[in-house]
Amino acid sequence: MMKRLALLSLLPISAYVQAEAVSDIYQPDTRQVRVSGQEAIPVRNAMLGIGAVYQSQDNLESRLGVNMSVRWLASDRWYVSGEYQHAPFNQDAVVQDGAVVVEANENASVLAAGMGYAVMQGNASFNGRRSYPWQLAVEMFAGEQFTGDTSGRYTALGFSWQIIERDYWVAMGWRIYQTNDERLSKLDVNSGAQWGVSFGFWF
Amino acid sequence: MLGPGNTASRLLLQAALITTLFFGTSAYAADAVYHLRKGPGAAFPVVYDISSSSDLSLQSAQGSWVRVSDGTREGWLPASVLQPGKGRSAALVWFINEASEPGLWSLSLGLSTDDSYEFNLAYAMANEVALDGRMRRASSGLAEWQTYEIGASFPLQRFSRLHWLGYAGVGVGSANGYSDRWQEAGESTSVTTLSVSTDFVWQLAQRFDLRLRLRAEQAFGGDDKVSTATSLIWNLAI
Repeated sequence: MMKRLALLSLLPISAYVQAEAVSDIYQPDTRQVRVSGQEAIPVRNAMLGIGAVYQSQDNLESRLGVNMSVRWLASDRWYVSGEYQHAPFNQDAVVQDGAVVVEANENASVLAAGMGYAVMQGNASFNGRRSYPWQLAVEMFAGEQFTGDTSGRYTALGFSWQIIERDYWVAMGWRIYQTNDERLSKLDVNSGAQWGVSFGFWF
Repeated sequence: MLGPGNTASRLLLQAALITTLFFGTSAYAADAVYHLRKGPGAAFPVVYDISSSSDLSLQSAQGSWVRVSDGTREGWLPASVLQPGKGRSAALVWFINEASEPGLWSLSLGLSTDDSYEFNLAYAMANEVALDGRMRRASSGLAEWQTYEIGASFPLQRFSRLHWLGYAGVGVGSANGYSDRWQEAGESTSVTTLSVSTDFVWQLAQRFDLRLRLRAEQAFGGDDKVSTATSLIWNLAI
């Protein structure tokens, strides 16, 4: 029994010796954010892209527009986004009580910022030989829609499915949107849904 | 079977077990297996198993994941499991694990009951005080107004994931002739603003929180109006 106790008493001694052996503790006192510049590791900072959007505007004909977007990656799943979108708003003038409320061939431009969160990430393969990482993100936007001579607060909520290649990406998105431009609100043409395809590269 | 007479053998067996417990585990930790994944996330499948003692070079980083390669195979690892070794210095491993955490900046966007939208950029300083820049703008039809403010926010109380913040700031504002924001519509207005607000913060994730903001603003200029608003704010640490 004594021998056994003596042997067990070596246990903390072994742990002490083991802790002493780990002496390479690195304790720097200067920190910098981001990895760039440290031993030349390339970093994916943001996604820049262009695309086409198809808008189904309530009580107006559907239309095709263009979209430019940037997504700045804050973490694995979170990103901050900004976008500019331009599309024709209507073809024919809208007359109400004898007055032209919306002139013919007005255009709508949207300048908005927002954020996204990748709720799902996975891997897709089309032919079984090569596979592509993808993620499905929920996105929200706030900004302003400029329509003709008036404007209003723009809000949107949707999702984006992004296929991520090493040097480029392709995304398909869908969203619902609304603007509080009172000129459009009176005609009930201030909201709708849109879907689009965009592609771009990393930088 | 060990009989009562084989005490020495039993002690030798126990010594071997203790030795294995400490030195065996240590040897395993020094030569662990890295599970390399197809992409930067736990949802991606494991494509290779590589010994941690391999000569791994770092190819790129995305968030808290790094892409590594041994020359013929490559894949993604959580930066937190990466240990110093061939191709990666202790300084580099420390940097990836510690310095790429959420930074001192945070970006917010919000929607208010006064029909405005707002963007905030905050920089954290000492004692949890943050320097806060805020832009608000509203437009509806032809009427439009905007304010630009700078101020400081500070914690008032903390309850686990819930925070309570205060803010005070000064700024400038302008409205066009269609807006009655600071005086009756008819001509453009420029004002100086003094505002206070309090945020009820719900920390939903390490980088993300949702805020309910109650705000009061005193304008100097125009009709010297006081206005109040409630906002819903999304805040992201970057």
